Amino acid sequence: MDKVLIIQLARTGDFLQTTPLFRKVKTAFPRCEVHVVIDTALQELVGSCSDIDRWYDLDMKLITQIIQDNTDIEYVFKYLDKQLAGLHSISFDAVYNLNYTPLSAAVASISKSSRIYGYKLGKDSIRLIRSPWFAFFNAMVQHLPLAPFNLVDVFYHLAPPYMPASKKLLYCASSQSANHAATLLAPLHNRAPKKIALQLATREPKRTWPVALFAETAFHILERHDNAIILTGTASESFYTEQFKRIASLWPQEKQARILDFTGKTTLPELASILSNCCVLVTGDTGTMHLGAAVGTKIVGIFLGPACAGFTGPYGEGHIVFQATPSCWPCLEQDKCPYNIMCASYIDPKAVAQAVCNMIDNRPVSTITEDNVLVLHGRGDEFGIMYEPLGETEYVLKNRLYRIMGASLLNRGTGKGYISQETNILPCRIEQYELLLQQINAMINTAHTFAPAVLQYRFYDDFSIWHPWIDFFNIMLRYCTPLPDGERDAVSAFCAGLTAAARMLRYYVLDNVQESCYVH
Amino acid sequence: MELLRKLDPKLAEFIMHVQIPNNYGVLISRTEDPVLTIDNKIMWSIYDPHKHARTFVERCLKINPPVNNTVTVVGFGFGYHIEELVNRGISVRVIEPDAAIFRLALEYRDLRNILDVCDLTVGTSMTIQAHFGNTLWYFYPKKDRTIPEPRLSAAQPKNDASGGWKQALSPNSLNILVVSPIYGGSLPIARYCNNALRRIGHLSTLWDASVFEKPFRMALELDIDRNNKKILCDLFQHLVSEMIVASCAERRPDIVLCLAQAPLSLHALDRLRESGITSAFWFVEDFRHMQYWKQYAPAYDFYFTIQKGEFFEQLKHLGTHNYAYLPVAAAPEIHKPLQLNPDERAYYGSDLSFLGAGYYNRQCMFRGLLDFDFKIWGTEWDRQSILWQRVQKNGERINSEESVKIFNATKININLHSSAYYEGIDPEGDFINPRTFEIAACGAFQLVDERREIDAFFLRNKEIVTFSSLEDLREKAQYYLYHPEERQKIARAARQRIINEHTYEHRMRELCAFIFDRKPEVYAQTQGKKLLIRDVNSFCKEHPETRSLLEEVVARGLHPDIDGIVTTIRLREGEMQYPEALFMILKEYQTLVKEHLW
Repeated sequence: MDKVLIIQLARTGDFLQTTPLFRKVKTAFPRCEVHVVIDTALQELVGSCSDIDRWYDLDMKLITQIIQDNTDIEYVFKYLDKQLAGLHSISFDAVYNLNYTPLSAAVASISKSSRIYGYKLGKDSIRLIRSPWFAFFNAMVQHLPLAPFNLVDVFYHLAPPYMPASKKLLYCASSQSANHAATLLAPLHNRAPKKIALQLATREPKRTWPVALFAETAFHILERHDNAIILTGTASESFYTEQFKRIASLWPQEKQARILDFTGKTTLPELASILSNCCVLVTGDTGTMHLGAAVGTKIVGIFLGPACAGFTGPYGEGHIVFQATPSCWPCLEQDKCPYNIMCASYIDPKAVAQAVCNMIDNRPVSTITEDNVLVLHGRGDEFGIMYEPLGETEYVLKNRLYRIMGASLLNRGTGKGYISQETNILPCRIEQYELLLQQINAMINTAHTFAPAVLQYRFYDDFSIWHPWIDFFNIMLRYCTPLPDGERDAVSAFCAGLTAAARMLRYYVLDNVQESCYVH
Repeated sequence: MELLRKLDPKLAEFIMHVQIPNNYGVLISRTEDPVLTIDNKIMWSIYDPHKHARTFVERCLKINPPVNNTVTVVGFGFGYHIEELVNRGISVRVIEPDAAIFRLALEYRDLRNILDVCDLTVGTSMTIQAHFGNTLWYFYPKKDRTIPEPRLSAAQPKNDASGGWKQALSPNSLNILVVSPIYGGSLPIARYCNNALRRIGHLSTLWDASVFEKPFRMALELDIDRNNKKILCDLFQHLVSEMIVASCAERRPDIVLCLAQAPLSLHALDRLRESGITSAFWFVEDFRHMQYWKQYAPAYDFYFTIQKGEFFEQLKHLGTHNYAYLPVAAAPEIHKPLQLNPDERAYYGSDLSFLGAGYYNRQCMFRGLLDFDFKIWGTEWDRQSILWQRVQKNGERINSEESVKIFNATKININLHSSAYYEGIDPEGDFINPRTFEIAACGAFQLVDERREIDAFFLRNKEIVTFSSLEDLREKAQYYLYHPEERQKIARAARQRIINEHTYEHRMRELCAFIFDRKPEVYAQTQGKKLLIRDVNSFCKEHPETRSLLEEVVARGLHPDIDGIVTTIRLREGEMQYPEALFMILKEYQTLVKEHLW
């Protein structure tokens, strides 16, 4: 491959989550030029990413301004033409569009490439056509909390060839910003060498842990005299910091002296440098979290409301996430919370503080918490990072099953399990294994007889574990890139996944079911 | 003022009593001419108002040349531009929505040259819309006007030094969704309205609920308990309603215009209102026959009726705010004189005919016409009745195309308005049915029953002939059967009257004008949000790669705005081209801006 285009028009966090993909393309095809399309707000980040050869930016703010000020198409058309004309003149070997929006799909259609992966506009210019791998991802999103893959790995594995995941995000802070950060942190240098950063705000209230609980956590952390607290955030988030400081003003002077507030005072590279000087970052599901993970800071994530660690948890091994799991979890982003965001109060600040201290001391983090909270650990296999609680739960079984079924999509034809069974030893023995194998058998047989009939199992409650997979099959049939052999290909993808699942299950079942059912 | 008193004493009287707001002022230019200021903003050139008028008029003439040497100008201001137009021998119609400005102009300027040559309207008026067919220019300050903010012209500098005087180069086009009923007499009217709206420059789409006729009738004809059937029908209506709301969410029309019996539920209307969409209803039925309007009328933002008087009283009592009288009309593109072949003439023709449903009064009265060569067309006629032998096509429904043939082939079309109560002519009849206009538009002759409102539409005995009883009808039928020239003369005159005054285009203009009068922000909104290409030619010159696409947009009868362009792109075959992709991106950004996501 000579030239590849990657479209990532979302926010800071999403860009950072795409960095392993940039690196992968560069590693697999060292001479390949990587071009990206981003929002202008991310220019600073692109500058720090050595894997990108050329970028095209679209300024949402400017476009919004133009559209609001002028009703003449001329102005915006000219602007878009100026920004994207370059894209039009290059023929790309592959285009990866990572955003599920008609906007990015339209941008993808500017390239001359016939190989658009991820999401692309259908012939009617309305529908979005997905690659099978993204179709799988979409089906999973419909079935949260099932979240077998981290978004980073979803992006990473979209582009061939199949390579083991690097398991880390990439960000390189400049030496200038590192120096500036050192100056900013100098006052704490001798007094409290161990710095813990707190990112108080997230982009929406439902994901935001109350400031009072952050403050309580900070209070416990500051009990240890060599610990200091760093507050991070943008200028628009200073409301939270002010609240924090009001609470902290009642604390002993000595503790107050170990709090530094950098809210709204740093650029992105400076923030990265500051985070890299911190031992731990306590944060919700934010862009700062991904930045912290990218510079190697250990993360203690506080995931509430719609946030799901399985999908967007901090990428890397050794991070932990306190995931609130009330019965309504995970809720939908756009819905108003009828319970006054009660899930926020389920997470105990003392436990969070304890986890932070244990991480600083390199001690294992205790998994015993209140009801309705899971403490999830980021751990890796060759596919990437996953978040699991310690212990034997059905949640783990289901995620593992889907992980291996999803992986089967990426190596169809090779016959090899992309995730080896050894690294995926099931944490528990469930009596229903036998039944699950029988269900797999039934579905495979149906798929081969009359494919659409598989959808009937979507209505059977006892098949509920397979519903996401059946949904994926449905999406494959309806919205996927047309495959060379059409429906048969959807069927073989469906069956290959089930076969992979059966293999894994069979590993634990003494009485194997008939091999012939799965091999085709 | 004295001249005005002579020309238009009523207007002069009105102007005399207009108060001038405190924020209106007058400055003297370098050429010592008065110039209007509002909120200390200068509204016309302070250097040389006459020169400004010259350049302004030249620019407008170039971009938007007058049709038939006539232009309509909204905004009189101090009249410099009007003077310039008059001097150039162009006939001008001026509408000044703000009477205070006009009074100031009268006080400070000598307008004798202008007033007696131009056609002037002061105050907000439906006339603005009525003139939309002509070349329309706006000359109007931006702030707090009762008319919508005029569009920014591409020909004008971006920051107009004169403080916001802008011009509109094309008629205000609205995005309108016309919702038809599932079936019934108002179904074709919905289609006519949609076509008419398109022709007068709006982006109108028909939401054709008639596709649900079959399933709906199936539900109606189920052999089940009446109450259960009602529940079923309500559910059906609810579903169709939801589909309409979903279409609105996607299309975001400025106005949803529903024709009588359109299947839109009250809940759906609330949701439309919540999402800022204006709803209008045209009740083209007799309010005495139907009762459902009582529940629905207050739920619509605008309510149009074909009856006045008592109906208006009742609407007012129910708390309906914006209601107006809007009689039905004809669609001359459908209802037109036809050359029929001998077979058609024999099949559809007769001395006398009637087309319509078999209402009680018709069943009674037509028994007295059986000695004529008389054909009856339409549904709901009694098979047991003596009239049945005259009913054609086994009493099937007659579509618009066939009805035009019948009107054309018949020597005398009888038009008896329906009544379920009286045996002959309904003495309370206070509306004119569509058939009256349709027959007239076909250039066909008709005898219509005596209606209170008829004089408002036609000249009696010159354009239309009425009858007041069966005897009168028989007598006149006899007379006109033997006087074909008179028949033809009257029919021709009636057709001319229809074309001049009573087409659906006229009605839709009036409807839009009423909405504009009561809720100008509908126009303001659309102007603010619609992204469009002001000057297609210069755009194509600048971006030649867009030419074929834009030509196709125009050829499809769509506006060169972002919606029209995107619709065309979606209809095109083949791979998406570069300029098409740019337009798609633009559309997506516009959606994001609308949803305030960024």
